[in-house]
Amino acid sequence: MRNRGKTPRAATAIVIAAALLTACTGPAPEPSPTEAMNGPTASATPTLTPSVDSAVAATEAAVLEAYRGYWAVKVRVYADPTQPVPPELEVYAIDTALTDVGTAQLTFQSNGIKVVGEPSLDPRVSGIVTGAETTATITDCVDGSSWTPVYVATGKSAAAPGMESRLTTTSTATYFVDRWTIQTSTVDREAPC
Amino acid sequence: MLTAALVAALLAVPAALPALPGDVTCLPGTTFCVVEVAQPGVPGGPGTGGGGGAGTGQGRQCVVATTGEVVPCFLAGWGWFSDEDSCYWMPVAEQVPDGAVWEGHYPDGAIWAVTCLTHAGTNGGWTWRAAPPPGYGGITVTPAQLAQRAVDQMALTGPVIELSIPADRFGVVGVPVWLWTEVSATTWGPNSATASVPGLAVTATARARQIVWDMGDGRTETCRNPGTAYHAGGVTSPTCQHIYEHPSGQQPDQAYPVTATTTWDVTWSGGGASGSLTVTRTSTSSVRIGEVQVLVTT
Repeated sequence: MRNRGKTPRAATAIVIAAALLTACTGPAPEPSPTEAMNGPTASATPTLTPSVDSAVAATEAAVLEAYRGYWAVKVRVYADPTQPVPPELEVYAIDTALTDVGTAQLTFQSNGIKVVGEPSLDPRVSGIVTGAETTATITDCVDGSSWTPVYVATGKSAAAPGMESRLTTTSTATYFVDRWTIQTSTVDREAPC
Repeated sequence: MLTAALVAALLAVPAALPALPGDVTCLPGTTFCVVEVAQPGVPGGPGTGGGGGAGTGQGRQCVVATTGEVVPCFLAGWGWFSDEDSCYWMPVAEQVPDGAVWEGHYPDGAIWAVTCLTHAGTNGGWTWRAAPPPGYGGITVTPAQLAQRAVDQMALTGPVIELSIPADRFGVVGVPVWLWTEVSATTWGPNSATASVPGLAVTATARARQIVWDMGDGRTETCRNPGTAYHAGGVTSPTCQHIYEHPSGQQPDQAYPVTATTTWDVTWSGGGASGSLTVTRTSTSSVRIGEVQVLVTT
């Protein structure tokens, strides 16, 4: 759940940036000296709350964009594992979220498997943490019932039978260099959803 | 993992630690597990072997320690195979100071992306490392392999065959044919060359030990010297010669084929190791021998 007491620094920066942007691009009515002096203190409480909310929403949107981008690249790579990975993968993923794609790709390659279709996502940002590192947690119920591994040679399914296809997936996102990226993404095969 | 094991059991596939055809592998970040087929050994596709001389370069073979599976030594996008952990290593493009991965080492060393095969028994991810892992860049080469490269650099040859019978003349049965080679660094030595890769250099020195002259009449002459150049009026070579007993008229082209093989002794040292090896190099020529007695005037 959102915690307004722990607004991330990035979100604060977005609020400020948004304020500056408004100041620069608006019709710019001349503020009276009184308003300019009193504004920040007098009107802080009523106006700031929606701004923080929108900033959090913007952060969540950025996190989810990285998350969906990560899945989209994965789906593309696994659809033809013989192709080199596209550079976007490193835009959306770092650390194990990145190298896990390689692990899967190599296994598909050596077994002559490709993965057809795509999974359905329903992600929610379940927590944002600020500190030395700004991170977010994404909880998802990934529905893989239309995302199927097949042997390229025969077109037959390569999926082990009897598996749940809707699985709880927990991912962590990190603000890296200049963007949100997915750092870990774990599908819990013991947690159908 | 438990589910995978269960499925494997249900399929009545014998469970084994290394990957076997029929094994169920659950890949990270996917909702499914796959049934593995017979290991073709080398993953296919354009992602493999790029970067020049990788997979088979310099005779390096990359094998997953836990399974014996032969894999490419280099994969585009994932880097070089390391024998240490059977994972692929590549430095991360964005080496930025923030992030706990550095473990306080910044700016020493680098952050590496480690991509492991599912059967390697280790997980990948980003990790800090002071120096590239063994095998990175394909520079895994032994001193003995470098010595072979040094030998190649020397471009040793067989003898430059010289005979006392010019190609347009006939020799005579019973008269010694002088055998020698022009002496140079590549035909008799000594010769020396150094081959190196970053961090390792091996110097090899080659000396010819002997030349075995196969004279084409079923006999050979072994000379532990380059022979002596013929001089007008000379009869018996002080070092290396052959006396034919029959004319070459019955031979193809009416000539005896002459095959001369030089044996080179090579010693090498470098990288804390030393050794020796033997190489041979062969040259060919021919000689015509007649039966008619000829008076030699001086």
